Amino acid sequence: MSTRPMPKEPADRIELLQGTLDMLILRTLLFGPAHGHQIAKHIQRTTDDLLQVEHGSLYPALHRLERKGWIAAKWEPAAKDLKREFKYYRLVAAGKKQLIAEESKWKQMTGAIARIMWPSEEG
Amino acid sequence: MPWWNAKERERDLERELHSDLESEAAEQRAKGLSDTEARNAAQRAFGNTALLKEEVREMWGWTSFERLVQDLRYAVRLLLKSPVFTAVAVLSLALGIGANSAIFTLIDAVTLRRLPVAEPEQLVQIDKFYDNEPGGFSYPLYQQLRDRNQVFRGVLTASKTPLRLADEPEGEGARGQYVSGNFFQVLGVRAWLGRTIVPEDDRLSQGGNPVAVIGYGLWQRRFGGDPAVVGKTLPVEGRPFTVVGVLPPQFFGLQVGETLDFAIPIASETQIRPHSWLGEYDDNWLSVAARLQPGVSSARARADLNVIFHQILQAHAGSVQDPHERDLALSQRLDVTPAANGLSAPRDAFSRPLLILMAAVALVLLIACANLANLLLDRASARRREMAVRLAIGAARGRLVRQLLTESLLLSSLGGLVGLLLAWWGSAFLVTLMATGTTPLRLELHLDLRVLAFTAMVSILTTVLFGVAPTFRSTRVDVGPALKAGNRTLGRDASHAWFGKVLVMAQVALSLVLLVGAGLFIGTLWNLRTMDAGFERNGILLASVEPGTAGYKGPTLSNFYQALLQRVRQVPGVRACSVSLLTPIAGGGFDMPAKVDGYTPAPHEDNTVYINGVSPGYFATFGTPLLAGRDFDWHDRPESSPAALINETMARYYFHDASPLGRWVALGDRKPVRIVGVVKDARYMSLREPVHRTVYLDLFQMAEMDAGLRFEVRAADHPLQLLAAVQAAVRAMGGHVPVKNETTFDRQIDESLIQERLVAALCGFFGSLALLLAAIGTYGVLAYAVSRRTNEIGIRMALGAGRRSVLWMVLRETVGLVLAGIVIGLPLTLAATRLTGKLLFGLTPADPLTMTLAILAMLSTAAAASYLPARRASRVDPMVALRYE
Repeated sequence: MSTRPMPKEPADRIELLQGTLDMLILRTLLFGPAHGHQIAKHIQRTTDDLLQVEHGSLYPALHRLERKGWIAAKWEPAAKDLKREFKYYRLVAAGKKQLIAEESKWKQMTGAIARIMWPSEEG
Repeated sequence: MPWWNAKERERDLERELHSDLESEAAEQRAKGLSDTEARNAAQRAFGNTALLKEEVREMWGWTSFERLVQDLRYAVRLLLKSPVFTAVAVLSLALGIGANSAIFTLIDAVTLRRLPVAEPEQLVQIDKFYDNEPGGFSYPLYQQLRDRNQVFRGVLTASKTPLRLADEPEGEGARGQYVSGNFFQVLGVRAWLGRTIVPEDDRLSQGGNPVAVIGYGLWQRRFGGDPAVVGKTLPVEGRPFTVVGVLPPQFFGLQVGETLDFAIPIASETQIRPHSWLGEYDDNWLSVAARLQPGVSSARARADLNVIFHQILQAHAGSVQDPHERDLALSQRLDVTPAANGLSAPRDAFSRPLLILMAAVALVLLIACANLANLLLDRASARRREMAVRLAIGAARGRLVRQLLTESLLLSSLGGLVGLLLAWWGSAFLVTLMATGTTPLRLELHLDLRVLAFTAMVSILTTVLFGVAPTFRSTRVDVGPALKAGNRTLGRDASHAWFGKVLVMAQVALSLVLLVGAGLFIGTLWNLRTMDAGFERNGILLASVEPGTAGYKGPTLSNFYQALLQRVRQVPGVRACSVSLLTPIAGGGFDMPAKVDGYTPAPHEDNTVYINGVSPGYFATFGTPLLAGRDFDWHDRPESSPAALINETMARYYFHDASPLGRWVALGDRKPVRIVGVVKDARYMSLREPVHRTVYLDLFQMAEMDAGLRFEVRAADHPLQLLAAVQAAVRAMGGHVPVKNETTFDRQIDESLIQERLVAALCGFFGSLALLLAAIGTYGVLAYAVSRRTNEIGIRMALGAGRRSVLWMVLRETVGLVLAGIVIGLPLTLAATRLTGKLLFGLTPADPLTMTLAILAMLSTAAAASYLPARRASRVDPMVALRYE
């Protein structure tokens, strides 16, 4: 599970920390149900293509979250094209709780890292 | 979505990927790409979808079963691809597993099964030993032991010789026993239907009730399981007995290997035998068992019982005249042994040979495992390259090991399955081998699952150890060199080659043990069959003629037999005929202390001689030559002076070089008889015994004529063709005299050799099996060595070595291996064959001829096995071999 910033040089790759992709997916689904491709596009667009989600990581992650009971899936026709069906994932209550937990953990961690990296700014 | 629905999930994932791929492609098209370009771009974005699917599958963790199926399918394909390897491996396993289970099933049935009675662990068997030989009990002795002991809750008895039903054929017909009234109560066996025999049926004073209980088998067979069987009549030995009950199906009687078809109270014996044995202290016809008082050990019971027994013996010793006889009588003792598994005559007769067979099949299992190990080792080395390739393209090591394990397990399961079939069929076949002719052997065979499991475990362990471990080890090596190296030079590394050689040596050593054992038993059978036993074996018809049951008595009996002999002698094709008390090698006999004219015995010298009563013509019938004097003739009348013939051994023992003719011998306390002739030594009860001093008396001069004699006819042609004529002659005498137990003399002898034949046949079979397995092992190792050395051989030939020298070089390797195996095997063999002990006849456990033959067989088999690889080596084309590298 790794995402890489697409247009950048290989040296600039950002290795996502374990579990980060899960949090990003959960956060994306907070806006409403989406299928796998939409989720990937959303993350890409929002980060200005800095983070490109590999399909090889995305689908296992989606199925893992489904198995853990944080998201649920349902086949539904697309909003634009009613003839085609997509597998829409949606956040369930347990997933929201998990998102909150992960978010606070993430905040603590970035805060801790920031204090080490930029002590002066912390003042 | 339910987690177990793997197929649906698979489809679901497929659909999800497809729909998302489509929408990606649609976006690319919207950017202005062509249809194909858009599709390719989408495909690129998604990457390796197969891997992706695999990862999702992995994530769900639902693939272990699917993977197993996949592995199994692959394993089956692989095994089918090398059918010879598979067949040899499966067969090795099957023979190892099957032979062991079959033999152990038999041992289990004969010796280990528990009696289906209440608290079998309290049951003990009581044996009487006379001159260290086990013998039966008389009824008065049984009564005294039963009434005077303090250690048993109950003592029961049953007759040893079977009772018959008048309307069922001899041999395969129903077999019954006299039982004491307390028999079923002491055993704790309840009736399945009706009631069992109870003590009230067994009142001696009233002659016993004519009632019978029947076994479940007889009930089904004779009465069709009729629930209204109680009250029906059973013609026991021609007398009507009323059926009072049916025994439960799992109760087969006390005697292991026999089925109790019916039982009648022992007191009713007076209604069947003209002269009852119930009051006779010297008729030992019963077996005795007892149930211990709680808290009494069999050791204590033995001590207590022997005290009583000696009091009884002392009371009777006064009536014995001969001092040697008296010593023997007083030295009798009783043994009390746990009988939870039943009284077993077959146990005594067969347990030693069965143990030897067990050892033989254990050896076969070992050899089979060695073979398997060798095969798998070769295969494992051959697959190192395959493993390296798989590792190189990204297979996980654990996954490969799992795959290999699956293959091994499949192989051993197949072997186990075939082994199960072999065991099933083999143990039934063994029972039919053991029970031929007149002694049916009925054993409840249950496949012993513990042994099956054990042998299967051993084989599976072998498979895993030698199939998986080397391959797994090889997967640890660097992939690079393994890939770079050619298939050939990679091969089996030095330690593997060395190990294979050790396995072959072990196989040779173990096979040698089996071969020598087989040779010894086959030699024993050969010796027994061809020895000069003092009679001719072929062309003699035997039958029991029993005028006694038709009412002939006293002098009329004698007249009957004489008239019958005269009649049969007239039948065309009859060379000679006679009647006698005993026929040779029938397993029974009479002996008596003898006093001999002019011979003074040393104190306590054994002067027992064996006795047979015969009619004139007996020696002519059996082809036993008369060496001096004359045979009995019809001038020897009851009123004339009684005559006797003796055998050579007796003549030599008592008269040395002097002529015994005209001297006398006195048997027991009877009147002396005059010796009129000497005949050649002939074996008496069994072929294995030494020749006994034997006295033949004239049957027609004996004080009391026996009511049932053996009738023997020497035929010019096939003896059984005369049976009808003999039966007709007996019928013509009138009075419905039964003719029973008809057989031929050579068949009677053959039946006495059942055990020898069984052991010889099976050891022979296992020996050849061992040889075959060893040959396969040798072939495998050598073929491998040759293919590994193709290069070297090529160089040698290029440098001028001839084909002959190459052939010899390879053969030398085999000879070296086999000789080393033999050197290891010889002391093993000598140690093992000592176990055969008394089972051999006419040769020693270290018989040099057998040893030599076994070694030669081993060497020639190995040479044959190595011929193919050696020839292949000698045909190596040096150019091809050198260019290959």
